[in-house]
Amino acid sequence: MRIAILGTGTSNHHKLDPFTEIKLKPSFRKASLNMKMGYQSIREACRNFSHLDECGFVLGTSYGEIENTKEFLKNFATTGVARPILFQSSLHNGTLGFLALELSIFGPTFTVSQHHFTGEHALSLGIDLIRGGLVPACLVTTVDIMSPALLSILERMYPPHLKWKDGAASFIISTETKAKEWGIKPLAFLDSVECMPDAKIPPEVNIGEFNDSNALELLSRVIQEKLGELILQKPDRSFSRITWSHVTT
Amino acid sequence: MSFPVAISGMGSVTCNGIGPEILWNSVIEEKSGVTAGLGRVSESSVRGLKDLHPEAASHSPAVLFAYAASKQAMKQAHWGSLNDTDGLILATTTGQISSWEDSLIAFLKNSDHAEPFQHSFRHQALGLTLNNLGELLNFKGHSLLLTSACSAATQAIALATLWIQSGKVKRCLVGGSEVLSTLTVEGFKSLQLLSETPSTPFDLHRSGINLSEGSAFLCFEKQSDQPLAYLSGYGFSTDAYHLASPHPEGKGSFRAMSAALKTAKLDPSQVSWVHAHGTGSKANDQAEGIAIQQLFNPDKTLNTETPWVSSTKNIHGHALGASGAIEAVLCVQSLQNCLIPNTTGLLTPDPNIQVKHPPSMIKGAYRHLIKNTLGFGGNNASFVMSNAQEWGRA
Repeated sequence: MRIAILGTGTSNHHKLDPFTEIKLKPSFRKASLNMKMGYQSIREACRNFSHLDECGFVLGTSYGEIENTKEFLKNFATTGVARPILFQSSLHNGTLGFLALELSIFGPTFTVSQHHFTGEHALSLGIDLIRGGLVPACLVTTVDIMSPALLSILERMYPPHLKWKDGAASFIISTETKAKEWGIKPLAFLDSVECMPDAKIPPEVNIGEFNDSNALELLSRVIQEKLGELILQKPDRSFSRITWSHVTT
Repeated sequence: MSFPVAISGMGSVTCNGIGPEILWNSVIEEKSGVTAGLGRVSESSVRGLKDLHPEAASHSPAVLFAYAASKQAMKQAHWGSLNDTDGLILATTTGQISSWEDSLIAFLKNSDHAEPFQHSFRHQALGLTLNNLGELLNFKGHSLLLTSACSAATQAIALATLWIQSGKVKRCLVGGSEVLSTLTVEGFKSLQLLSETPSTPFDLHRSGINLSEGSAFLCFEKQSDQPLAYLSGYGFSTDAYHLASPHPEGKGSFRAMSAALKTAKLDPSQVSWVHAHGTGSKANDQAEGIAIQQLFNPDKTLNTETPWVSSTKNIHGHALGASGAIEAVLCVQSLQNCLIPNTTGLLTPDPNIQVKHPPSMIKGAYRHLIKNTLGFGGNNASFVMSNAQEWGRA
């Protein structure tokens, strides 16, 4: 069964400013940056897709709602008051819950987290759900922010050439048959997603800007460049390999 | 592709003690492990686990619990080790947070405390729980960490089944692990959801939930010489209603259970026990009760075909992301021991929840049960578990 990519979208905090819908919708008033970026990337991925009601949804995030967690704990430690609004948004699954509500997604939904391989695992689970016959299509979104208060700590943990950045990316994937039924021309077909946490490659690749779930963001860029293989080096020199083929018809 | 998958081993670490037997005995003796509203794994249990597994003693409690439960399950299943064709799926929601939240608070108050915080922060990412467990088990195959709130472990069990059915893995070690933390205890308190006494699910006077910690793991495989039970169906849904409250009419939960029955190719009348999520919160029990009633007794008449509905959370508390796995262990034991537990603490059934409560422990062999879970974020997951004799002949 060939897995077709039907749409991609990305976001980061710089990209959010002109997005008036997020600014104006009351439901976004208390939304976290994860939620806003995730939403924007989904809207971009769905610009030619109107079948979200048939989709499963996998959300990948490594640090989750760490900013909300930090604020909740800080507030509790300093004032003794635990704020419920911060708590309900502080769990990893909070982002998914918000996005499912905003987008009226009623099918199977999952939040996954796998450190440096979060993006790859999210995409793999989306493929599993389709191949397993649970859903005809799947929205896969990955998002990570880094709290300014924690960024300095993180930067000290990794080599100086590694620049942590926030970002979100969304993919709509489905079967070739379903894409035909919907009349959507796939951007590409996913062939494999492999994670090699124990393998090490020489540190000659400059990773540049990075977060634990940015595999989809990078993949969306190179798919448009029509390369067929993406090797993603991680901060510990482990890597992943994602391959795809192009639409030939 | 939809065939029942054998469960061949299980292990647990709960506030009731170490091992599935002590957990099951606590249920049948109605002996709650909850103290002062919380279900903590005792210090003596933690010491015992560290003595038994010195290789895991320096890891976070979430990893220690998960490793101990995994080893119990693998021993029962006669799995010497995991290999590359196996799978490992772990569920947790805040498993790592207890290790760093104290140092975070200290750091946020005073930046001089950066060093201890930096050390703890290195280990706070949830993904590291799975990495550490995988390293301890020397595992290099397909793995997955689910963090979908309280439904996470039920989802994990369903996905383990899917992985085996689809041929992605030959066997799968699956479970959940959770640790009590300031974030969850104070957070649930802020939502006014915690009870200071053992919870009384489905009771008219129920006063909330008991958070707890612990871990449970199960071994899944396509075929087993000595299956304990079979996982025969699963279903998922999302409420898309509210971040922290279930749909008041239980619509999402209804769809998850319906999907589970459909994949198991069963009618509602073939299910004997609904092992409910039954947290003891007003909103959860009401929504879940409506969903169960609409699926299993839509005409609101309780007869011999209506399944018994009960919750065991009074005994082991609510271990959030691990709860589905801990309760799956009890599902296996219920099928094996031919006993359906009643809801401990239920004295005055809520008249708005029209389900069939067991008045006491129900004795007798039965074929199928359904385990139901609802979670923050609106995730619902259910699975159908079947008696080993039922599918063993297939």
